[in-house]
Amino acid sequence: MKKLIAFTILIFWPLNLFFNGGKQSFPLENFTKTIFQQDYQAEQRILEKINLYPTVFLARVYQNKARIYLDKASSNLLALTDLNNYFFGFHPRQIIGNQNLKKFPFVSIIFFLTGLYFFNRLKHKKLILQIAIPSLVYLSLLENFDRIDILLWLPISLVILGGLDIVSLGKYWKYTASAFWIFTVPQLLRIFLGYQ
Amino acid sequence: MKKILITLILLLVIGLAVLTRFYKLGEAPAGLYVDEAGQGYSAYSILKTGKDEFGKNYPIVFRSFTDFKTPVYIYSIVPLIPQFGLTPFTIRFPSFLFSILTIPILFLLVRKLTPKNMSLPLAFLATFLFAISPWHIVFSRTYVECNLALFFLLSGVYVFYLSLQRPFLLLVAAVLFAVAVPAYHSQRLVTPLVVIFLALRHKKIIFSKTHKKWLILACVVGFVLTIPMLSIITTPGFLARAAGLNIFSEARVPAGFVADYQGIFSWLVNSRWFLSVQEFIALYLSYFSPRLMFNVGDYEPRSSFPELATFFIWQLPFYLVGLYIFTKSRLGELKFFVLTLLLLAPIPAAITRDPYNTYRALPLVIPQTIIISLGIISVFVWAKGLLGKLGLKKVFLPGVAIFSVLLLVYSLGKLYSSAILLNEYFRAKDWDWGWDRVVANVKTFDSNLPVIIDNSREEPYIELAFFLQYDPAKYQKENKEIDLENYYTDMNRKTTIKFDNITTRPINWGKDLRIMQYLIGDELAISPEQITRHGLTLIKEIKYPDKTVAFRIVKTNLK
Repeated sequence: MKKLIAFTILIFWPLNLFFNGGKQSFPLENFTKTIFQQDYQAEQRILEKINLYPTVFLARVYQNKARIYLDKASSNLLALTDLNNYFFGFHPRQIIGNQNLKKFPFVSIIFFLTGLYFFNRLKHKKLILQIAIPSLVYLSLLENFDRIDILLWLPISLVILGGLDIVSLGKYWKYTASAFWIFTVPQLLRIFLGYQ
Repeated sequence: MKKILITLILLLVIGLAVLTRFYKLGEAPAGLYVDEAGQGYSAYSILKTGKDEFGKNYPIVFRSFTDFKTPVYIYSIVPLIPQFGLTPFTIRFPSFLFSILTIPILFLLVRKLTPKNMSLPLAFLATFLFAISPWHIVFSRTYVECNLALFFLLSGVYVFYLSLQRPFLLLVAAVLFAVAVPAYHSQRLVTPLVVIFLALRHKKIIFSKTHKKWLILACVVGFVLTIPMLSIITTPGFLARAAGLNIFSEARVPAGFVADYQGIFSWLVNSRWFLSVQEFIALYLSYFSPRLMFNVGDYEPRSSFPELATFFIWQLPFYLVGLYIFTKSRLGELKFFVLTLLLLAPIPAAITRDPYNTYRALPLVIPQTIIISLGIISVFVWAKGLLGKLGLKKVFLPGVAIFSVLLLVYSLGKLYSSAILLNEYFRAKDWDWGWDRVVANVKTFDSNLPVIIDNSREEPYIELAFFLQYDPAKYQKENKEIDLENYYTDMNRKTTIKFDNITTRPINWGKDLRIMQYLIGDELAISPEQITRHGLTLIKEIKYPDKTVAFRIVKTNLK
């Protein structure tokens, strides 16, 4: 049972990407298009706001071009570390220009949180950090990380599987496993039928 | 620390809270949202006639458009009107006042619940962060019931803890909880759950011989105070919010429903229980999402300031550290209280369809602020130890002081930038800006000519009633909307409202041109093309702060 659950968790993201990920075009330049490219519209918005400040100093502190890059990077980083991204396709605050794919069955959030809580007990904690940290930095600097964020599939899966190991030893394992299948079967069915 | 010093620091924190909440109260946000005008006029009507604008004597919940509003805030405005008049300041003042009163309560509560070795720094830090909290400030500057409800909930919890030593205080706690419940919709769920959790946690004490008598009395008093609310609990008026917004409602199509799939697996793919549970968990978890807390914030323009989320972005690392410390440390009763509120506060918000609704989840600001404070204290202790090892102990405190002052100045500047400058410029329309100007213009018109105000998209009648300070007795007589026996059940609306020569209704471009009169509408109702085509005289264009047209006032010309 545990192995089947682990297998389902592992194939969920690639499967959803395969069946539902091709609905929007994916330019290869997304791999190299970073937040540091000039954003004319963002610059214009800043110029509009600058006029609202009573002093030049205040305007420069709160409205400057460096903020464009900082805002984009922090926005990306926080989106990439948002649990709702991976388990609910960013619901209830989906991102425009992102496919908002569900990456893991939502019940597996139990395993993920358990894995995170007992992170020190995980077998591959070094590997997880070695992949996750550089991937997060790279993805945060991209203009659009959609679909490239599959880079995080392995570290997140390892945390979930670590959590699964721990939960499977607990006394509520049967109930958790039942809940997993009850909610994951409709999710898998939706993927195969081409719906999110 | 000496009591006098503690009081002095607390007063400074309260002073900071007053500064962030009282500055331009009534002017910023610029404009007066229809709900604010509606509740303000209801209070005015109660003051003048003892009835609301529909003619109902002292309602238990107030009818407002197709909705019903909780009563506590509205009744709290009534005594203020004779002092300050019927103005936006008056309507927003109770929210400000109770937000300030919440600060000492929070201080006392955190101090009482925290282990002694860190109770004072944590209580000060939590109240300080609360004083500059964007989340709480948004709701302290405008008419919102949730702010009042939070004060009564926290006070109830604090007095409950006091009552563990002094049993008679159970009675006071019961009164405070009983006021919190009708003070805001979401408190109908949160307050009873908090009370149940507290009672279970301290059952040995409150069911003991010393407390039993007071407990029974408190239950009776609590019950008696909630009887008015219980008497209308099954009416559409009472249930309007819950029925309209509930994600589990049968009338609503659940999120993720695939309308174009009719295959054999439809019962599973579009299963209501599956979709609703999935949506509830997604909504619930969103209240803990750092992305929404520190970056995106509330999407609702009246529940947030531009470029400012619910917390400052610099608080994010402290939140993460605080969460870690919170889960790993023994914090005694504080842990129980924070965990209870942390887990219960988002429930009412998560069963409604709006994403990350900070209005409904306001009590959550308390545990999350405490967690951030814990994070700051932990980082402080860690940094102090580290610099001590490096032999830099002498520079530590001055360094922290300079860093803290800079951070405070930056945060206050950010608040000023977002709440005062950007909010007025970008969100004037969301705050129904300009109706005071419309009324000022209308007062200068020839009173023999009719005035038609278009209401195709808005509810201008309540703004007019408010800014005209229209005699409520006259209003009730001229604009009977429903039979009073159906006050809580009849949800039908009247679309035409009259104030002497002023009528609010959709403009009729056929009939209205045959009468000499004034027409008032927004940019869509009266466009420049219509002015040319119908030969109208443009009297005035009222513009938003961003120079786009808010209203056009024209006069018809008989051909």
